[in-house]
Amino acid sequence: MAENTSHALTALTFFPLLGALMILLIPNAEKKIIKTVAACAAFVPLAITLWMLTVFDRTLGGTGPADLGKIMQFVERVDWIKPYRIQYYLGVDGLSFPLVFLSALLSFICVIASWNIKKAVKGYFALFLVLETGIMGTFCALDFFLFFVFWELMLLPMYFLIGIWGGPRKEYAAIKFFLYTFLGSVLLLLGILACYYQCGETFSIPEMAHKFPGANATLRFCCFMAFFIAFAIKVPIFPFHTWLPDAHVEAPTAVSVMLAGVLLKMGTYGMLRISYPLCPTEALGSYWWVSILAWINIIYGAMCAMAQTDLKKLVAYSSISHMGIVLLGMVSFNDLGFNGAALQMFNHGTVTAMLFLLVGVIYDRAHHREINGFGGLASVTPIYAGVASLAFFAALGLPGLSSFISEAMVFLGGFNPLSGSGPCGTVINPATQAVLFCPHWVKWVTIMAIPGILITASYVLWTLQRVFLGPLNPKYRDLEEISTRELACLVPLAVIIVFLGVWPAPMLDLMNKSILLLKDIVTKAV
Amino acid sequence: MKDVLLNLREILPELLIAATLLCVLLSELLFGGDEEYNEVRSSDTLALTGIAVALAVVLLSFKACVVCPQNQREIFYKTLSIDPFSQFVKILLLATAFIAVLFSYQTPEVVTPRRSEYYSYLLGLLLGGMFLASANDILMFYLSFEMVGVSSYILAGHMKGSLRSSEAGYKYVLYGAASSGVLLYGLSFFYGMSGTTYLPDVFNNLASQFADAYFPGMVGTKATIVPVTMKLLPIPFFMVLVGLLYKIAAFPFHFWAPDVYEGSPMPVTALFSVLVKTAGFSALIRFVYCFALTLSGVIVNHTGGSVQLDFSLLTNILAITSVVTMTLGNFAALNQTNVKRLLAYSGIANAGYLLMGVSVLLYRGETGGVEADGVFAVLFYLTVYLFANLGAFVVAIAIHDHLGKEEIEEYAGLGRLAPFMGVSMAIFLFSLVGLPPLAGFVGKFYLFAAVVRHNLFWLALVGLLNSVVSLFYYMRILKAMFFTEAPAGTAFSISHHYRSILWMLVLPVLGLGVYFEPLARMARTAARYFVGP
Repeated sequence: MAENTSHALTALTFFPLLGALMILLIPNAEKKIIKTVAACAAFVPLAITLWMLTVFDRTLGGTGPADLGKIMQFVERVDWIKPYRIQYYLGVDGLSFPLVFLSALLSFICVIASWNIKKAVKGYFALFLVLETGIMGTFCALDFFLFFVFWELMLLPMYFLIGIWGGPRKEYAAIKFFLYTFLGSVLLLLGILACYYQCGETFSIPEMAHKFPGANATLRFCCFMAFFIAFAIKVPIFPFHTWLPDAHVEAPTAVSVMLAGVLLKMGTYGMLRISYPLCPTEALGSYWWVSILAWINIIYGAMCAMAQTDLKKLVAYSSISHMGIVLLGMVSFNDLGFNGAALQMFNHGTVTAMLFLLVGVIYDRAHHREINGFGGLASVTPIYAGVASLAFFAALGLPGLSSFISEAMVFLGGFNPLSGSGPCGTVINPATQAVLFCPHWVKWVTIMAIPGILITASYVLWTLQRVFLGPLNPKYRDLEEISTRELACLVPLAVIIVFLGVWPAPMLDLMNKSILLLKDIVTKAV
Repeated sequence: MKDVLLNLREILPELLIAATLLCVLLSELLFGGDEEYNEVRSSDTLALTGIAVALAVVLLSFKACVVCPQNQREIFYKTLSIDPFSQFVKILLLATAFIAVLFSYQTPEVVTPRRSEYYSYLLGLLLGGMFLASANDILMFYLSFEMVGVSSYILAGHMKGSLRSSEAGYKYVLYGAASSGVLLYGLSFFYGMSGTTYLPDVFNNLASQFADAYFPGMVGTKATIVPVTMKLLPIPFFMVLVGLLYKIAAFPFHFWAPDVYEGSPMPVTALFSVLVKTAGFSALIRFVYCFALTLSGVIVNHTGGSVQLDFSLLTNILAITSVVTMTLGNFAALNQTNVKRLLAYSGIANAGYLLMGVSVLLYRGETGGVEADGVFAVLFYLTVYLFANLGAFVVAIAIHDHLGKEEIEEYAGLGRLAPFMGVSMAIFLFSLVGLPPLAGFVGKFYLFAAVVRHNLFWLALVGLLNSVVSLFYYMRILKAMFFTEAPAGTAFSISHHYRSILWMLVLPVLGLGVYFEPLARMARTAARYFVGP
């Protein structure tokens, strides 16, 4: 049990909500005050997270007792609804803490990036801060009911943010996003209730991880499928990905950043936090089709990205592709793969945030996002071109930048699935003699997924060439250079990307022990 | 005689409402011509005061019933039962009526020369509902059922000059008369077969007769569970169910609802969608429980505990009705363009969700006793539904009064012009969908928890998928209000009156989403009345 128990997580989660309420009280006309209050409300969680970074215990976990509850830090546990044993139970470990840090950082950056919003400023920032509360709560919650409340809490602000401040097809995109995600949540609720009654009426996720693997096999399978579909819609995994291009393209810049940078991670976080510990046998047994889906995500996502002429849609599809890499890492069931997946979650968050911010910069100036409508911008806006090149190379996975590390770890892990924790060959269920896990399958899917890097490289370089290089498009002779404010949003992310590309140890140290424990929980159950 | 006088004390709330009704009528007759009387809207104030006092009395009575079980009694020769369940339902009914009087205050649909008539029928509806919640006797059951019915027929047709309103009233009368005729016929069978009108005794006698006929000599044999087949579920039971399902607008007796809701004046529609449904559900629950519990109690006694009745047939019938009702309600609402009709179909869908809770009434827990979590969920959901549904109607009434608009497209941009109203409408509609952290989510959660607990996963899945469908049509209203721009030159703001009512309704919806233990405790006590502590 961790030593550090303070109310950091409650502050982290509810300070933005407090900020939102304060904003609602400020009169509409005082736009500057509203924005300042929003920035402060978004800064406080970031400050708290930075402090937590220094006191975070990086030694909890590893090959200790397989108990999720013991590796949680900053735990707060209070009875909320006694008759149903629902508790206000928050805690972070190596898996969720990087994501909490990512969310806090991106929220603050997004508030700065939204400085130019003209329409209904009060509503925008209030909704944005409520969204931040939902996000923080989801990553910190260890009580399944609380997790679900925060998970759904995110949907409301997103619907309005996309639907009011979005692009031409905003209503369609907003309702599609809302319906799709709500469908997933509803399946999640069914799974939650089934687990609750099977686990002796407890909502605590660590306790469920103990008791649920002993439940009826059919029920376990149905719950795993329900959870999988719910999280698959969020990740998004083919074929539940169709909401993503619309939602990302129509949303305003900052909302796209939050959506791609943070919300997508919730799907894979949910799988790692919930599906894997609660249904380890089913998770292991699902390797063959999940790896295929991961492969489809990577290759199909990349090919769709290549076909795009809208810059924002290209970045959206590249997100699908990169989340496929996370999924591939999750299906290899070894230290390298899991660590790679967790690291890729963090890295992709930073990279895709940069990409969307950059698209926002050019859209603010040119009012369109047609890739073929630009050309030679590097000569007019060199700083912008430079930062954009960095972001695009990071998306590509250039060695020296953070994505390379995580992608390499995932692919290396996929080469030798399940190694180091048991027999290296095919795992067969002794009772039924059925194949439970075949490493060769995962290895070959990984090999087949590697061309994805090639496809990614091709569309990234092609896009760079079309937009920044080549003859200058005469329309943009007087294009405004990137402003200080926009640069201020991009630089922290760029620094992190370069830093983690050269020295990923700080981030990996943060995650490693908890990921090892998770991997043990899943693989030892077999 | 002394008994009767003593019992009057127990129905003090009903007496208060009756007195208020008379006062409202008489004051209009005596002072109606007076200008000042009409300016001050005395009928409204009188009605409001009466309801408020009655509400206070019922709250005290509920507390008394809970604290000391001796305070639960059956009065007036056992025709009425004063117990936690009936008092809880009465609290809901009185709260609904209170809010209804508040929002009927300003609307021009309640025609000024006949205000007292409107309020007296409203109070009559309330009175009927209160008696229905307590009814323990066939005659009282039917009388109160009809009192609710007749008051609603007249309220539906309140706007005499309007064709729609008259059509609504007429349709309601025809449908209601037919359904209550069937109900009465079924009830008369029960009287004929058992020789008594006191409901528990009706089923007692029936069960004893059946027990003798179908389980002779089974004392001392090993325990068996006998499914309750058609032999034991006589036709009269279904006939009564017809009447009850009509009242709550469930399939296949819901066809009156969309037309009646659309034609009635808006405050009346709001009243129907909550008050009549609550009263109907309380009657349904009491009737089904009485039937099932007495029947199984008698059979168990007769056979010395070796036979236990299994009510899966009844459960499945109710579950299927629930599924069809909610699916039909939700899918029909998808195509609606009129807000009132949409809310009518959403009310039908909500009746479906509530029926889910009713269908798990009869499941046995691990100890072999019948559990109360289905009823608890129904009561809790009725409370949160009250606030959210009335809230949505208040917004619709406010818009109708200020702008005369009823179609969804005509709501364009109103959310941005009147932000408080827009946000509260969003809160009410999200609560009806069942999104956290609002009260509606907790209500739906309890309903689904009750269903999953008894392993009816298919029912829960259908209910959840229906919630997703309902999201679409509720969002259409919000889309119009927030995403589309209002036509140029529209000026709109709601009056202080509606603003304060909205505050009164929004706060519970927000608060009960986070802190709902007191309400849950009250509902649980009310639900446990039937099945023991």
